Amino acid sequence: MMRLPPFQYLAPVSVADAVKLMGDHGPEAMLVAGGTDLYPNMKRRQFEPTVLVGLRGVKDLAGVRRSSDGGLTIGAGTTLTTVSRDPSVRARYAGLATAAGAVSTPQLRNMGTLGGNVCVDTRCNYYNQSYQWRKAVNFCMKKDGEICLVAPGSPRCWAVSSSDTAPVLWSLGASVRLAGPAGQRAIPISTLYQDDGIQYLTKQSGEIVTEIILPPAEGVRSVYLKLRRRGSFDFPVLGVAAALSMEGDVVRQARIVLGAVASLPREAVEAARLLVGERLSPELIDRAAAAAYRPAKPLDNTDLPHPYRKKMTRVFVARALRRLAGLPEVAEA
Amino acid sequence: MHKIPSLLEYKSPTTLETPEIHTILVESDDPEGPFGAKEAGQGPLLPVIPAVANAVYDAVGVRIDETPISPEKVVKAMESKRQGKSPRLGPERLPVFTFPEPKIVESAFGQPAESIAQRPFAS
Repeated sequence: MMRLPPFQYLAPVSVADAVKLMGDHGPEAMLVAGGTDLYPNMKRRQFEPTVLVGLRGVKDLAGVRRSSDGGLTIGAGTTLTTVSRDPSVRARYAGLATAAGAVSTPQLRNMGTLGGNVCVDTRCNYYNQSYQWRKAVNFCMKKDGEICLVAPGSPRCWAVSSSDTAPVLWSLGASVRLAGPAGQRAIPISTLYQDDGIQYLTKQSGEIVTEIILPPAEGVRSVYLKLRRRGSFDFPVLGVAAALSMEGDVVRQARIVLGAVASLPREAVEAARLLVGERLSPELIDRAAAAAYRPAKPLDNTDLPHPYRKKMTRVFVARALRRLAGLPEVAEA
Repeated sequence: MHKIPSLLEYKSPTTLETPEIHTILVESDDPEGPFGAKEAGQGPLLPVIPAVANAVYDAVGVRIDETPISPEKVVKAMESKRQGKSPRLGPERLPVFTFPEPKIVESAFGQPAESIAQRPFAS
């Protein structure tokens, strides 16, 4: 890996200052919080900012607190370790605690933040490579090149959304608060993403994710399952987040969101619709899992073969729902 | 195209993926090695792969006759078994190969071939 190139590091102490600095430096500047993804990407020249606006000095960005509506507000600068260990997150948003605790390694979770994981760059076998490697294949369209090396005829980039927390937050109906030159706004996290490997976020580059807002979790059960080569640390090659709002043992509301199967988290709407108003039986779970795996269209651009990842989508959705239903994870043979 | 050009993509097992390992030291005096040294690389490699293949068979009842024994191969073999076909995956027969006559080489000490059966400075 190459060394970090020279850059200017700016350390604002308030969100307003950070927004102003981003505005002053325009497209030359990038935001950095934990830096666990950004610095390695700079070493490989996937990112080439000349100015970094560091958010570590902005005290307001860290912390977990109860919202007035009974939900939870998590500062974007809260570390993944804190999120995964927070008692109210663990008690009421179990899927989020699991996902935050499944990102990378303990050291990187101590540095990496929830906001950083929500905004983490999309990944691809042809993009997450050293500068020399990418140069040898004449680069891809995500950085420095013209064509997509996964699908050479394609007009778009197919890099994969690789956040663990994004699908869970989407399944929980979370919103994100953004601060930008035009002031603040809160949007559902499902509208933060779009299906493009390059422009995967809908926010402006000068906008800062300041908070993640979770709605009240009365009667909500949530779970996150992650497929990867190693259990210890790897980016997800499939993530399954499921959140069910229960009334007794009847499903009142359901959301199933798949991670790492597209350039954005992919909601399995049809599968969730099958569950609403029903009791969770093994047969219903199998039907929902069959419906959930249809929208998953992984391409051959991450670890593990893509037909296997598609096949496992069905298995993982069934496992996730069985866990929420309190059934044994694997059906008796 | 080489998609695993560095140790970042090469997913070596961490302590969490590695089983507990008991080490038994066997003192040896190998007449072929310099100063009696014994190779230590291939010895542990040979029994481990069959042991893993046997463990997979013991767990799910299918045999993977090649490396890597990857998850998708196990799934494929299990599906094949469920359909009443072969529960094995891998090469179906050994390649036809005739081993050449062994070649006598001189030892690491430059001793002639006849003297290497005995350690040169053994008492």
